[in-house]
Amino acid sequence: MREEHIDLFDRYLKNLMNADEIAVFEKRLSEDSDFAAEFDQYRLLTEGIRAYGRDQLKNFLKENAGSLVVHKPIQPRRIMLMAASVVLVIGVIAIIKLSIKPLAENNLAIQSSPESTVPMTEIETTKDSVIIEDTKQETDQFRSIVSVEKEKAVDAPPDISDNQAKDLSEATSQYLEEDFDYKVLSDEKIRDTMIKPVMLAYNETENLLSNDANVNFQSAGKTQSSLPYNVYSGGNAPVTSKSKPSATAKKEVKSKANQSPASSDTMAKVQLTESKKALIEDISSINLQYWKSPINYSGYTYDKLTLKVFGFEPGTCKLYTVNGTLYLRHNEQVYLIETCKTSCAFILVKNPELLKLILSH
Amino acid sequence: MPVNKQLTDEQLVSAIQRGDQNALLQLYRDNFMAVRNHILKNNGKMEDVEDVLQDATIAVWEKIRNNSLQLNAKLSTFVFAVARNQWLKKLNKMSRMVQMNDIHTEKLTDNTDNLEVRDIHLVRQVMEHLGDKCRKILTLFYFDGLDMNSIAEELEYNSADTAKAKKHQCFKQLQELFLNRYNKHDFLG
Repeated sequence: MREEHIDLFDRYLKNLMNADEIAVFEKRLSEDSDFAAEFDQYRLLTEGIRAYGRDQLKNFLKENAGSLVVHKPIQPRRIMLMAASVVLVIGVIAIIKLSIKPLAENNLAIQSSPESTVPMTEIETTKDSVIIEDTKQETDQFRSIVSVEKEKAVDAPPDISDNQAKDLSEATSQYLEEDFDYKVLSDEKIRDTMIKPVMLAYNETENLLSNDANVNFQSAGKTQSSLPYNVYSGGNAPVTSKSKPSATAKKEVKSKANQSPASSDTMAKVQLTESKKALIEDISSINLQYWKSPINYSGYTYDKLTLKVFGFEPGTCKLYTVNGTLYLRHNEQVYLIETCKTSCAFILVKNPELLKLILSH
Repeated sequence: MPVNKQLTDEQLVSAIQRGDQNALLQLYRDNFMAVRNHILKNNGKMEDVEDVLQDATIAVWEKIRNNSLQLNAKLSTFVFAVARNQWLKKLNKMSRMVQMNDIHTEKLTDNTDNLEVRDIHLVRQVMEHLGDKCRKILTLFYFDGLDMNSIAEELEYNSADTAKAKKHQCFKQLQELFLNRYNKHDFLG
Protein backbone atom coordinates (compact mmCIF):
# COMPACT_ATOMS: atom_id res chain seq x y z
CA MET A 1 0.00 0.00 0.00
CA ARG A 2 1.47 3.25 -1.10
CA GLU A 3 2.12 5.95 1.50
CA GLU A 4 0.23 8.59 -0.47
CA HIS A 5 -2.80 6.35 -0.55
CA ILE A 6 -2.59 5.75 3.19
CA ASP A 7 -2.46 9.52 3.76
CA LEU A 8 -5.46 10.00 1.47
CA PHE A 9 -7.46 7.30 3.24
CA ASP A 10 -6.49 8.79 6.63
CA ARG A 11 -7.65 12.25 5.62
CA TYR A 12 -10.89 10.86 4.18
CA LEU A 13 -11.78 8.77 7.21
CA LYS A 14 -10.80 11.53 9.66
CA ASN A 15 -12.96 14.02 7.80
CA LEU A 16 -10.02 16.21 7.00
CA MET A 17 -10.96 16.67 3.32
CA ASN A 18 -12.94 19.52 1.93
CA ALA A 19 -15.94 18.86 -0.25
CA ASP A 20 -13.99 18.94 -3.52
CA GLU A 21 -11.41 16.49 -2.26
CA ILE A 22 -14.12 14.17 -1.03
CA ALA A 23 -15.84 14.28 -4.43
CA VAL A 24 -12.61 13.49 -6.27
CA PHE A 25 -11.79 10.72 -3.76
CA GLU A 26 -15.17 9.04 -3.99
CA LYS A 27 -15.18 9.28 -7.79
CA ARG A 28 -11.85 7.50 -7.89
CA LEU A 29 -13.11 4.82 -5.52
CA SER A 30 -16.01 4.11 -7.82
CA GLU A 31 -13.91 4.04 -10.97
CA ASP A 32 -10.60 2.52 -9.84
CA SER A 33 -11.15 -1.00 -8.54
CA ASP A 34 -7.53 -1.43 -7.40
CA PHE A 35 -7.82 1.82 -5.46
CA ALA A 36 -11.11 0.63 -4.00
CA ALA A 37 -9.57 -2.73 -3.06
CA GLU A 38 -6.69 -0.91 -1.40
CA PHE A 39 -9.21 1.21 0.50
CA ASP A 40 -11.12 -1.88 1.65
CA GLN A 41 -7.94 -3.40 2.95
CA TYR A 42 -7.03 -0.15 4.65
CA ARG A 43 -10.44 -0.10 6.31
CA LEU A 44 -10.03 -3.67 7.47
CA LEU A 45 -6.61 -2.99 8.95
CA THR A 46 -7.65 0.23 10.70
CA GLU A 47 -10.78 -1.45 12.02
CA GLY A 48 -8.54 -4.22 13.35
CA ILE A 49 -6.32 -1.62 15.03
CA ARG A 50 -9.36 -0.05 16.68
CA ALA A 51 -10.58 -3.46 17.80
CA TYR A 52 -7.14 -4.06 19.27
CA GLY A 53 -7.31 -0.69 21.07
CA ARG A 54 -10.71 -1.62 22.51
CA ASP A 55 -9.35 -4.98 23.62
CA GLN A 56 -6.58 -3.24 25.50
CA LEU A 57 -9.01 -0.97 27.32
CA LYS A 58 -11.37 -3.84 28.00
CA ASN A 59 -8.57 -5.82 29.58
CA PHE A 60 -7.66 -2.79 31.63
CA LEU A 61 -11.24 -2.49 32.84
CA LYS A 62 -11.50 -6.18 33.61
CA GLU A 63 -8.33 -6.03 35.66
CA ASN A 64 -9.11 -2.83 37.52
CA ALA A 65 -12.79 -2.07 37.47
CA GLY A 66 -13.55 -5.13 39.56
CA SER A 67 -11.88 -3.60 42.59
CA LEU A 68 -13.85 -0.41 42.10
CA VAL A 69 -17.16 -1.92 41.24
CA VAL A 70 -17.24 -4.81 43.62
CA HIS A 71 -15.46 -3.54 46.67
CA LYS A 72 -15.92 0.15 46.86
CA PRO A 73 -19.68 0.43 46.60
CA ILE A 74 -20.19 -2.55 48.88
CA GLN A 75 -17.81 -1.40 51.58
CA PRO A 76 -20.06 1.33 52.96
CA ARG A 77 -22.94 -1.08 52.87
CA ARG A 78 -20.98 -3.57 54.91
CA ILE A 79 -20.12 -0.92 57.43
CA MET A 80 -23.77 0.06 57.57
CA LEU A 81 -24.78 -3.56 58.05
CA MET A 82 -22.28 -4.01 60.84
CA ALA A 83 -23.44 -0.82 62.52
CA ALA A 84 -27.05 -1.89 62.11
CA SER A 85 -26.27 -5.28 63.65
CA VAL A 86 -24.63 -3.67 66.66
CA VAL A 87 -27.57 -1.31 67.12
CA LEU A 88 -29.97 -4.23 66.76
CA VAL A 89 -28.19 -6.30 69.38
CA ILE A 90 -28.07 -3.38 71.79
CA GLY A 91 -31.73 -2.68 71.10
CA VAL A 92 -32.79 -6.25 71.71
CA ILE A 93 -30.85 -6.38 74.97
CA ALA A 94 -32.40 -3.09 76.06
CA ILE A 95 -35.89 -4.28 75.17
CA ILE A 96 -35.37 -7.53 77.06
CA LYS A 97 -34.08 -5.70 80.10
CA LEU A 98 -36.87 -3.17 80.07
CA SER A 99 -39.58 -5.67 79.45
CA ILE A 100 -38.70 -7.95 82.35
CA LYS A 101 -41.12 -6.74 84.97
CA PRO A 102 -42.47 -8.62 87.88
CA LEU A 103 -45.92 -9.95 87.27
CA ALA A 104 -46.73 -10.11 90.90
CA GLU A 105 -45.11 -10.02 94.23
CA ASN A 106 -46.21 -12.42 96.76
CA ASN A 107 -45.23 -12.51 100.31
CA LEU A 108 -46.16 -15.88 101.56
CA ALA A 109 -46.32 -14.78 105.10
CA ILE A 110 -49.73 -13.43 104.45
CA GLN A 111 -50.93 -16.29 102.34
CA SER A 112 -49.76 -19.08 104.51
CA SER A 113 -52.54 -21.08 105.88
CA PRO A 114 -52.37 -22.33 109.40
CA GLU A 115 -52.56 -25.91 108.24
CA SER A 116 -49.48 -25.61 106.15
CA THR A 117 -47.32 -23.80 108.54
CA VAL A 118 -45.76 -25.65 111.35
CA PRO A 119 -45.70 -29.31 111.11
CA MET A 120 -42.80 -30.71 112.99
CA THR A 121 -41.70 -34.12 113.82
CA GLU A 122 -39.53 -34.01 116.78
CA ILE A 123 -38.72 -32.07 119.79
CA GLU A 124 -35.22 -32.67 120.77
CA THR A 125 -32.69 -31.55 123.24
CA THR A 126 -33.15 -28.68 125.49
CA LYS A 127 -29.70 -27.39 124.84
CA ASP A 128 -28.39 -26.77 121.40
CA SER A 129 -25.41 -24.91 120.29
CA VAL A 130 -25.17 -23.38 116.89
CA ILE A 131 -22.00 -22.09 115.41
CA ILE A 132 -22.36 -19.92 112.43
CA GLU A 133 -19.23 -19.39 110.48
CA ASP A 134 -19.57 -16.69 107.92
CA THR A 135 -17.23 -17.17 105.03
CA LYS A 136 -18.98 -14.86 102.69
CA GLN A 137 -18.45 -11.44 104.06
CA GLU A 138 -17.61 -8.51 101.92
CA THR A 139 -14.43 -7.84 103.76
CA ASP A 140 -12.21 -9.84 105.99
CA GLN A 141 -13.58 -7.98 108.91
CA PHE A 142 -16.69 -9.97 108.81
CA ARG A 143 -15.15 -13.31 109.44
CA SER A 144 -16.33 -14.45 112.73
CA ILE A 145 -17.83 -17.22 114.59
CA VAL A 146 -20.70 -16.77 116.83
CA SER A 147 -21.59 -19.35 119.20
CA VAL A 148 -25.09 -19.38 120.28
CA GLU A 149 -26.08 -21.36 123.17
CA LYS A 150 -29.60 -21.91 123.94
CA GLU A 151 -30.45 -22.97 127.37
CA LYS A 152 -33.57 -24.85 126.87
CA ALA A 153 -36.80 -25.14 125.07
CA VAL A 154 -39.95 -24.61 126.90
CA ASP A 155 -43.15 -26.47 126.49
CA ALA A 156 -41.78 -28.97 124.11
CA PRO A 157 -44.47 -31.34 123.09
CA PRO A 158 -43.79 -34.91 124.01
CA ASP A 159 -43.78 -37.78 121.54
CA ILE A 160 -44.56 -36.89 117.98
CA SER A 161 -44.56 -39.18 115.00
CA ASP A 162 -44.71 -38.47 111.28
CA ASN A 163 -48.36 -39.04 111.13
CA GLN A 164 -48.83 -36.66 113.88
CA ALA A 165 -47.28 -33.76 112.03
CA LYS A 166 -50.54 -32.16 111.20
CA ASP A 167 -51.90 -32.87 114.56
CA LEU A 168 -48.92 -31.22 115.93
CA SER A 169 -49.51 -28.14 113.90
CA GLU A 170 -52.94 -28.03 115.30
CA ALA A 171 -51.66 -28.49 118.75
CA THR A 172 -50.65 -24.83 118.73
CA SER A 173 -47.86 -25.42 121.13
CA GLN A 174 -46.44 -22.39 122.73
CA TYR A 175 -42.85 -21.91 121.84
CA LEU A 176 -41.38 -19.08 123.68
CA GLU A 177 -38.24 -17.20 123.12
CA GLU A 178 -35.53 -18.32 125.40
CA ASP A 179 -32.38 -16.82 126.76
CA PHE A 180 -29.38 -16.80 124.48
CA ASP A 181 -25.78 -16.86 125.34
CA TYR A 182 -23.65 -15.20 122.67
CA LYS A 183 -20.00 -15.90 122.42
CA VAL A 184 -18.37 -13.59 119.99
CA LEU A 185 -15.21 -15.22 118.85
CA SER A 186 -13.92 -12.55 116.53
CA ASP A 187 -13.12 -8.92 117.15
CA GLU A 188 -15.70 -6.71 118.64
CA LYS A 189 -16.06 -4.57 115.59
CA ILE A 190 -17.60 -7.40 113.79
CA ARG A 191 -19.91 -8.29 116.52
CA ASP A 192 -22.21 -5.42 115.73
CA THR A 193 -22.48 -6.41 112.13
CA MET A 194 -22.86 -10.07 112.65
CA ILE A 195 -26.00 -11.95 112.16
CA LYS A 196 -27.88 -12.11 115.32
CA PRO A 197 -29.42 -15.48 115.44
CA VAL A 198 -32.95 -15.07 116.45
CA MET A 199 -34.60 -17.78 118.34
CA LEU A 200 -38.22 -17.29 118.15
CA ALA A 201 -40.87 -19.26 119.68
CA TYR A 202 -43.23 -20.02 116.95
CA ASN A 203 -46.84 -20.36 117.36
CA GLU A 204 -48.93 -21.56 114.56
CA THR A 205 -51.47 -18.98 115.38
CA GLU A 206 -48.87 -16.25 115.54
CA ASN A 207 -47.38 -16.05 112.15
CA LEU A 208 -46.15 -12.62 112.89
CA LEU A 209 -43.38 -14.13 114.87
CA SER A 210 -41.86 -15.40 111.68
CA ASN A 211 -42.00 -11.96 110.20
CA ASP A 212 -40.29 -10.61 113.25
CA ALA A 213 -37.54 -13.08 112.65
CA ASN A 214 -37.09 -11.76 109.19
CA VAL A 215 -36.97 -8.21 110.43
CA ASN A 216 -34.40 -9.12 112.97
CA PHE A 217 -32.22 -10.78 110.43
CA GLN A 218 -32.28 -7.82 108.17
CA SER A 219 -31.77 -5.28 110.89
CA ALA A 220 -28.76 -7.18 112.04
CA GLY A 221 -27.12 -6.27 108.74
CA LYS A 222 -24.71 -8.28 106.64
CA THR A 223 -27.27 -10.85 105.86
CA GLN A 224 -26.82 -10.80 102.14
CA SER A 225 -26.42 -14.49 102.08
CA SER A 226 -29.93 -14.72 103.44
CA LEU A 227 -30.62 -17.66 105.58
CA PRO A 228 -33.41 -19.44 103.79
CA TYR A 229 -34.89 -20.68 106.93
CA ASN A 230 -36.23 -19.44 110.16
CA VAL A 231 -34.64 -20.20 113.41
CA TYR A 232 -36.88 -21.33 116.14
CA SER A 233 -36.39 -22.07 119.71
CA GLY A 234 -38.45 -23.53 122.42
CA GLY A 235 -40.41 -26.47 121.27
CA ASN A 236 -38.77 -26.20 117.91
CA ALA A 237 -35.28 -26.43 119.22
CA PRO A 238 -34.32 -29.44 117.13
CA VAL A 239 -35.17 -27.48 114.07
CA THR A 240 -32.57 -24.98 114.96
CA SER A 241 -29.99 -27.58 115.53
CA LYS A 242 -30.57 -29.31 112.24
CA SER A 243 -31.30 -26.34 110.14
CA LYS A 244 -28.57 -25.25 107.86
CA PRO A 245 -28.41 -22.72 105.08
CA SER A 246 -28.16 -23.69 101.47
CA ALA A 247 -24.75 -24.60 100.22
CA THR A 248 -24.44 -21.55 98.03
CA ALA A 249 -25.02 -19.28 100.95
CA LYS A 250 -21.52 -20.28 102.02
CA LYS A 251 -22.45 -20.43 105.57
CA GLU A 252 -21.76 -23.36 107.67
CA VAL A 253 -23.89 -24.16 110.55
CA LYS A 254 -22.46 -26.62 112.89
CA SER A 255 -24.55 -28.09 115.50
CA LYS A 256 -23.23 -29.71 118.57
CA ALA A 257 -26.18 -31.90 118.66
CA ASN A 258 -25.80 -33.00 115.11
CA GLN A 259 -22.37 -32.18 113.74
CA SER A 260 -22.57 -33.72 110.34
CA PRO A 261 -22.57 -30.89 107.81
CA ALA A 262 -23.59 -32.14 104.42
CA SER A 263 -25.32 -30.73 101.44
CA SER A 264 -28.83 -29.68 102.15
CA ASP A 265 -30.28 -32.34 99.91
CA THR A 266 -28.24 -35.06 101.51
CA MET A 267 -29.13 -33.78 104.85
CA ALA A 268 -32.77 -33.86 104.04
CA LYS A 269 -32.51 -37.36 102.72
CA VAL A 270 -30.67 -38.65 105.73
CA GLN A 271 -33.05 -37.13 108.10
CA LEU A 272 -36.05 -38.26 106.23
CA THR A 273 -34.95 -41.82 105.97
CA GLU A 274 -33.32 -42.27 109.30
CA SER A 275 -35.14 -40.60 112.03
CA LYS A 276 -37.93 -38.87 110.21
CA LYS A 277 -37.05 -35.60 111.69
CA ALA A 278 -38.17 -33.74 108.67
CA LEU A 279 -39.69 -30.42 109.08
CA ILE A 280 -41.87 -28.74 106.55
CA GLU A 281 -42.88 -25.21 106.94
CA ASP A 282 -43.93 -22.39 104.76
CA ILE A 283 -41.50 -19.61 104.44
CA SER A 284 -43.00 -16.37 105.50
CA SER A 285 -39.98 -14.19 105.28
CA ILE A 286 -39.19 -14.84 101.65
CA ASN A 287 -40.50 -12.47 99.09
CA LEU A 288 -41.71 -14.54 96.16
CA GLN A 289 -42.00 -12.67 92.91
CA TYR A 290 -43.30 -13.91 89.58
CA TRP A 291 -41.44 -12.54 86.62
CA LYS A 292 -41.92 -12.99 82.96
CA SER A 293 -39.18 -12.96 80.38
CA PRO A 294 -39.90 -12.05 76.73
CA ILE A 295 -37.76 -14.99 75.67
CA ASN A 296 -39.79 -17.33 77.85
CA TYR A 297 -36.87 -17.97 80.12
CA SER A 298 -37.64 -20.43 82.86
CA GLY A 299 -35.58 -20.33 86.01
CA TYR A 300 -35.08 -18.29 89.12
CA THR A 301 -32.90 -15.95 91.09
CA TYR A 302 -32.75 -16.09 94.83
CA ASP A 303 -30.90 -13.55 96.82
CA LYS A 304 -31.50 -11.42 99.87
CA LEU A 305 -34.64 -13.30 100.76
CA THR A 306 -36.16 -12.46 97.41
CA LEU A 307 -37.02 -15.29 95.08
CA LYS A 308 -37.75 -14.25 91.50
CA VAL A 309 -39.41 -17.01 89.55
CA PHE A 310 -39.47 -16.95 85.76
CA GLY A 311 -41.76 -19.08 83.68
CA PHE A 312 -44.65 -19.70 86.07
CA GLU A 313 -47.98 -17.98 86.26
CA PRO A 314 -48.45 -15.76 89.29
CA GLY A 315 -49.85 -17.52 92.32
CA THR A 316 -49.09 -21.03 91.12
CA CYS A 317 -46.09 -21.70 93.32
CA LYS A 318 -45.62 -22.40 96.97
CA LEU A 319 -42.50 -22.39 99.07
CA TYR A 320 -41.42 -24.96 101.61
CA THR A 321 -38.40 -25.59 103.72
CA VAL A 322 -37.35 -29.02 104.67
CA ASN A 323 -34.64 -28.99 107.25
CA GLY A 324 -33.66 -25.53 106.24
CA THR A 325 -33.50 -26.20 102.53
CA LEU A 326 -35.83 -24.21 100.40
CA TYR A 327 -38.13 -25.87 97.90
CA LEU A 328 -40.52 -24.46 95.38
CA ARG A 329 -43.62 -26.36 94.54
CA HIS A 330 -45.42 -25.83 91.26
CA ASN A 331 -48.36 -28.15 90.77
CA GLU A 332 -47.00 -31.64 91.33
CA GLN A 333 -43.38 -30.74 90.83
CA VAL A 334 -40.92 -29.62 93.41
CA TYR A 335 -37.74 -27.71 92.73
CA LEU A 336 -34.70 -27.17 94.88
CA ILE A 337 -33.97 -23.48 95.45
CA GLU A 338 -30.50 -22.35 96.30
CA THR A 339 -29.02 -18.92 96.58
CA CYS A 340 -28.52 -17.69 93.06
CA LYS A 341 -27.76 -14.09 92.30
CA THR A 342 -27.93 -14.16 88.53
CA SER A 343 -30.09 -16.91 87.15
CA CYS A 344 -30.36 -20.60 87.76
CA ALA A 345 -32.28 -23.40 86.17
CA PHE A 346 -34.84 -25.22 88.24
CA ILE A 347 -33.50 -28.39 89.78
CA LEU A 348 -36.24 -30.96 89.97
CA VAL A 349 -36.43 -32.84 93.23
CA LYS A 350 -36.62 -36.58 92.66
CA ASN A 351 -36.24 -37.92 96.14
CA PRO A 352 -39.53 -39.81 96.53
CA GLU A 353 -39.78 -39.39 100.25
CA LEU A 354 -39.09 -35.71 100.07
CA LEU A 355 -41.58 -35.34 97.26
CA LYS A 356 -44.18 -37.24 99.16
CA LEU A 357 -43.60 -35.15 102.20
CA ILE A 358 -43.98 -31.87 100.37
CA LEU A 359 -46.79 -32.89 98.04
CA SER A 360 -48.82 -34.42 100.78
CA HIS A 361 -48.58 -31.27 102.75
CA MET B 1 -4.60 0.88 41.07
CA PRO B 2 -5.04 4.04 43.11
CA VAL B 3 -8.57 5.32 43.23
CA ASN B 4 -8.72 8.91 42.15
CA LYS B 5 -11.02 11.43 43.69
CA GLN B 6 -14.39 11.85 42.05
CA LEU B 7 -14.08 13.96 38.92
CA THR B 8 -16.74 16.21 37.47
CA ASP B 9 -17.94 15.63 33.91
CA GLU B 10 -15.64 18.33 32.58
CA GLN B 11 -12.68 16.94 34.44
CA LEU B 12 -13.55 13.47 33.20
CA VAL B 13 -13.67 14.64 29.58
CA SER B 14 -10.36 16.44 29.77
CA ALA B 15 -8.80 13.46 31.61
CA ILE B 16 -9.98 11.13 28.83
CA GLN B 17 -8.67 13.53 26.23
CA ARG B 18 -5.29 13.26 27.93
CA GLY B 19 -5.59 9.49 27.76
CA ASP B 20 -5.94 9.03 31.55
CA GLN B 21 -7.31 5.53 31.98
CA ASN B 22 -8.42 6.22 35.57
CA ALA B 23 -11.09 8.43 34.05
CA LEU B 24 -12.33 5.39 32.15
CA LEU B 25 -12.55 3.52 35.45
CA GLN B 26 -14.62 6.26 36.98
CA LEU B 27 -16.89 6.30 33.96
CA TYR B 28 -17.40 2.57 34.37
CA ARG B 29 -17.90 2.76 38.12
CA ASP B 30 -20.31 5.69 38.03
CA ASN B 31 -22.61 3.94 35.60
CA PHE B 32 -22.37 0.41 36.91
CA MET B 33 -25.46 0.32 39.12
CA ALA B 34 -27.78 1.97 36.61
CA VAL B 35 -26.66 -0.26 33.74
CA ARG B 36 -26.74 -3.32 35.93
CA ASN B 37 -30.30 -2.64 37.06
CA HIS B 38 -31.41 -2.02 33.50
CA ILE B 39 -29.85 -5.14 32.05
CA LEU B 40 -30.85 -7.43 34.90
CA LYS B 41 -34.41 -6.22 34.57
CA ASN B 42 -34.30 -6.89 30.84
CA ASN B 43 -33.38 -10.55 30.64
CA GLY B 44 -29.68 -9.98 31.13
CA LYS B 45 -27.11 -11.58 33.38
CA MET B 46 -24.21 -10.21 35.33
CA GLU B 47 -21.77 -11.14 32.54
CA ASP B 48 -23.89 -9.13 30.13
CA VAL B 49 -23.74 -6.13 32.46
CA GLU B 50 -19.96 -6.12 32.53
CA ASP B 51 -19.62 -6.76 28.83
CA VAL B 52 -22.11 -4.12 27.76
CA LEU B 53 -20.83 -1.50 30.18
CA GLN B 54 -17.25 -2.10 29.12
CA ASP B 55 -18.20 -1.64 25.48
CA ALA B 56 -20.28 1.46 26.27
CA THR B 57 -17.62 3.23 28.32
CA ILE B 58 -14.98 2.42 25.71
CA ALA B 59 -17.25 3.76 22.95
CA VAL B 60 -17.61 6.99 24.93
CA TRP B 61 -13.86 7.05 25.49
CA GLU B 62 -13.29 6.75 21.74
CA LYS B 63 -15.79 9.51 21.03
CA ILE B 64 -14.14 11.86 23.50
CA ARG B 65 -10.64 10.95 22.36
CA ASN B 66 -11.61 11.61 18.75
CA ASN B 67 -13.30 14.89 19.70
CA SER B 68 -16.51 13.67 18.15
CA LEU B 69 -18.70 13.96 21.20
CA GLN B 70 -21.05 16.88 21.54
CA LEU B 71 -21.88 16.65 25.22
CA ASN B 72 -25.15 18.43 25.92
CA ALA B 73 -26.24 16.20 28.77
CA LYS B 74 -24.62 14.55 31.74
CA LEU B 75 -21.87 12.13 30.82
CA SER B 76 -23.58 9.38 32.80
CA THR B 77 -26.76 9.89 30.79
CA PHE B 78 -24.74 9.46 27.63
CA VAL B 79 -23.01 6.32 28.87
CA PHE B 80 -26.31 4.84 29.97
CA ALA B 81 -27.90 5.61 26.59
CA VAL B 82 -25.02 3.92 24.75
CA ALA B 83 -25.21 0.91 27.06
CA ARG B 84 -28.96 0.63 26.65
CA ASN B 85 -28.66 0.75 22.85
CA GLN B 86 -25.91 -1.82 22.87
CA TRP B 87 -27.96 -4.14 25.05
CA LEU B 88 -30.94 -3.70 22.76
CA LYS B 89 -28.77 -4.58 19.75
CA LYS B 90 -27.46 -7.60 21.59
CA LEU B 91 -30.96 -8.72 22.48
CA ASN B 92 -32.10 -8.31 18.88
CA LYS B 93 -29.08 -10.23 17.67
CA MET B 94 -29.78 -13.02 20.12
CA SER B 95 -33.43 -13.24 19.12
CA ARG B 96 -32.44 -13.25 15.45
CA MET B 97 -30.02 -16.05 16.09
CA VAL B 98 -32.71 -18.01 17.85
CA GLN B 99 -34.99 -17.54 14.87
CA MET B 100 -32.26 -18.55 12.46
CA ASN B 101 -31.42 -21.59 14.49
CA ASP B 102 -35.05 -22.47 14.28
CA ILE B 103 -35.00 -22.54 10.51
CA HIS B 104 -31.53 -24.10 10.24
CA THR B 105 -29.93 -21.23 8.40
CA GLU B 106 -27.08 -20.54 10.79
CA LYS B 107 -24.50 -21.92 8.38
CA LEU B 108 -25.46 -19.41 5.70
CA THR B 109 -25.34 -16.48 8.07
CA ASP B 110 -21.96 -17.60 9.41
CA ASN B 111 -20.51 -17.47 5.91
CA THR B 112 -21.78 -14.02 5.17
CA ASP B 113 -21.95 -12.05 8.42
CA ASN B 114 -18.81 -13.32 10.06
CA LEU B 115 -16.46 -12.93 7.14
CA GLU B 116 -15.32 -9.43 8.01
CA VAL B 117 -15.43 -10.08 11.75
CA ARG B 118 -13.05 -12.96 11.24
CA ASP B 119 -10.65 -10.75 9.30
CA ILE B 120 -10.80 -8.05 11.91
CA HIS B 121 -10.03 -10.63 14.53
CA LEU B 122 -7.02 -11.68 12.48
CA VAL B 123 -5.74 -8.11 12.42
CA ARG B 124 -6.08 -7.96 16.20
CA GLN B 125 -3.99 -11.08 16.46
CA VAL B 126 -1.38 -9.69 14.09
CA MET B 127 -1.13 -6.52 16.16
CA GLU B 128 0.22 -8.65 18.98
CA HIS B 129 3.19 -9.54 16.80
CA LEU B 130 4.20 -5.96 16.16
CA GLY B 131 6.73 -4.16 18.30
CA ASP B 132 5.62 -2.01 21.23
CA LYS B 133 6.32 1.23 19.41
CA CYS B 134 4.32 0.20 16.36
CA ARG B 135 1.35 -0.99 18.42
CA LYS B 136 1.40 2.24 20.34
CA ILE B 137 1.67 4.56 17.39
CA LEU B 138 -1.01 2.79 15.33
CA THR B 139 -3.40 2.67 18.29
CA LEU B 140 -2.86 6.32 19.14
CA PHE B 141 -3.50 7.34 15.58
CA TYR B 142 -6.37 5.07 14.51
CA PHE B 143 -8.03 4.25 17.84
CA ASP B 144 -7.41 7.34 19.96
CA GLY B 145 -7.52 9.65 16.96
CA LEU B 146 -4.52 11.71 17.97
CA ASP B 147 -2.79 13.84 15.38
CA MET B 148 0.86 13.43 14.53
CA ASN B 149 2.00 16.35 16.66
CA SER B 150 0.38 14.86 19.76
CA ILE B 151 1.76 11.43 18.98
CA ALA B 152 5.25 12.84 18.47
CA GLU B 153 4.96 14.55 21.83
CA GLU B 154 3.60 11.53 23.64
CA LEU B 155 6.03 9.04 22.16
CA GLU B 156 8.90 11.52 22.25
CA TYR B 157 9.63 11.68 18.53
CA ASN B 158 11.57 14.65 17.24
CA SER B 159 8.79 15.85 15.00
CA ALA B 160 5.38 15.06 13.59
CA ASP B 161 7.07 14.02 10.32
CA THR B 162 9.24 11.51 12.16
CA ALA B 163 6.17 10.14 13.86
CA LYS B 164 4.34 10.01 10.54
CA ALA B 165 7.18 8.11 8.88
CA LYS B 166 7.19 5.66 11.77
CA LYS B 167 3.45 5.22 11.44
CA HIS B 168 3.74 4.42 7.74
CA GLN B 169 6.41 1.91 8.48
CA CYS B 170 4.32 0.24 11.16
CA PHE B 171 1.22 0.20 8.99
CA LYS B 172 3.10 -1.58 6.23
CA GLN B 173 4.42 -4.11 8.70
CA LEU B 174 0.91 -4.76 9.87
CA GLN B 175 -0.32 -5.15 6.31
CA GLU B 176 2.43 -7.60 5.45
CA LEU B 177 1.89 -9.66 8.55
CA PHE B 178 -1.83 -9.67 7.97
CA LEU B 179 -1.58 -10.70 4.33
CA ASN B 180 0.87 -13.36 5.30
CA ARG B 181 -1.49 -14.76 7.87
CA TYR B 182 -4.53 -14.17 5.73
CA ASN B 183 -3.15 -16.08 2.78
CA LYS B 184 -2.10 -18.89 5.04
CA HIS B 185 -5.57 -18.96 6.57
CA ASP B 186 -7.12 -18.77 3.15
CA PHE B 187 -4.96 -21.58 1.88
CA LEU B 188 -5.59 -23.73 4.93
CA GLY B 189 -9.26 -22.78 5.06
